[in-house]
Amino acid sequence: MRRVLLALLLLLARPPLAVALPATTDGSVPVAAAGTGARGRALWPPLPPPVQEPWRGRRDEPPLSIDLTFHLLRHLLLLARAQSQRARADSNRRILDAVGR
Amino acid sequence: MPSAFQFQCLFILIFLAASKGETRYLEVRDAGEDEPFLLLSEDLKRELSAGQIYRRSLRCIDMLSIEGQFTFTADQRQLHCATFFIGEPEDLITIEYNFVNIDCQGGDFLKVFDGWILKGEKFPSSLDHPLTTSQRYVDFCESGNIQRSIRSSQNVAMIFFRIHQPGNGFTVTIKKTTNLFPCNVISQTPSGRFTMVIPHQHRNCSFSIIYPVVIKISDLILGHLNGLFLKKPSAGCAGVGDFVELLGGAGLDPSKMFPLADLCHSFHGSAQMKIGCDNTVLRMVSSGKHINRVTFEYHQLDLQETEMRKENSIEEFCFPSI
Repeated sequence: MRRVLLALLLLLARPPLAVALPATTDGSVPVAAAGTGARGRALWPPLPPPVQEPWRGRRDEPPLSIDLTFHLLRHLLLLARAQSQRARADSNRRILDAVGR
Repeated sequence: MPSAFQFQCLFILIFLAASKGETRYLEVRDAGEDEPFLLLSEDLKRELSAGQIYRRSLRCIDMLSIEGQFTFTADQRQLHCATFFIGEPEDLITIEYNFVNIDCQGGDFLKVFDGWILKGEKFPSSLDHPLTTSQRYVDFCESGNIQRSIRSSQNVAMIFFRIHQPGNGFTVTIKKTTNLFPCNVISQTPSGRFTMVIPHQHRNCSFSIIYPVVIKISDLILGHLNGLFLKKPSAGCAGVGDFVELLGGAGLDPSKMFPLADLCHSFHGSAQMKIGCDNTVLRMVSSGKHINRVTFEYHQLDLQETEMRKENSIEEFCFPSI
């Protein structure tokens, strides 16, 4: 008895077979036929239309960035400082050479 | 008057008059003699000024702290490149496009960012910068014909670029101008001394040191008077309009860092703190009603000091575990 009831429940829960819908010449499915079964009844409740969200432009993309560790950043700073000192020394040398002529 | 004496007086007068004239002539002669030197000085000036413009090529990842003209030419496809610019605390950085040869339609880009951004974290933070994040990016491909020169709001800026075609590239000139009241600063060095002044401005200013440091605040002047605040000491400085806070963390964005201490009373003296974080920030919050000023010194925290951290330090933040 229990098995019979279970089988009956399973039969009732099984979705109906899909039916080929008539297609138009351009391949689209007529609106009237869409979502309906062979007997014309709605197979599934109509889905609510998707919410029209505002267009997601570049503003929502993560900001352009670069992945560097602080260790590397400090190394770059050290190189930049050394370069700045070399440029300043070179500039001072040229000034003194020119003044000394 | 005897005639001999008259003759002597006259002779002296004539001599004096003649010597004055001679002096003028010598001055003119000196001027004339100086003309070659003046000409040489002009040539010298021109020669020196022409040679003073520093030039070099850029690498894909690079950092610059001096003025000059810098050129990047792609020897191969370069998709993730950036150049950091940093100046003294009182500098503002101006980036001027001299020559740009990139294929914007082909996916190349060249963008200037007002500040530094590392792993998505920005300095100054969005809370402390007048522009929105999107406004801080200036894209050459969108505005290159209009905006050929861009100036930063603080002592740091950077450019991002992507170039697909070898041989393409760009040249920029970097100049520095002076900012009378530096607000957001990244220190070039692990040690130094600075005074931050916010004169009647409703703004927040951060001074970032991307090293573990010992920081010593020697002078703090906040607009409100001492002792007039009926406030529980344990409540901190929340609700106070003007205060200074010390932040520590492992990222660049001060708004994502740990608050370590806050000061909302003026004092003269020395308040020292050892902060073992990768980034230490002193941030001043100003209501705009007062002139606020803080003077501090800092030097790098070495490994020995991190081990001797029992005194006057925050142990639970950022120090490496033994």
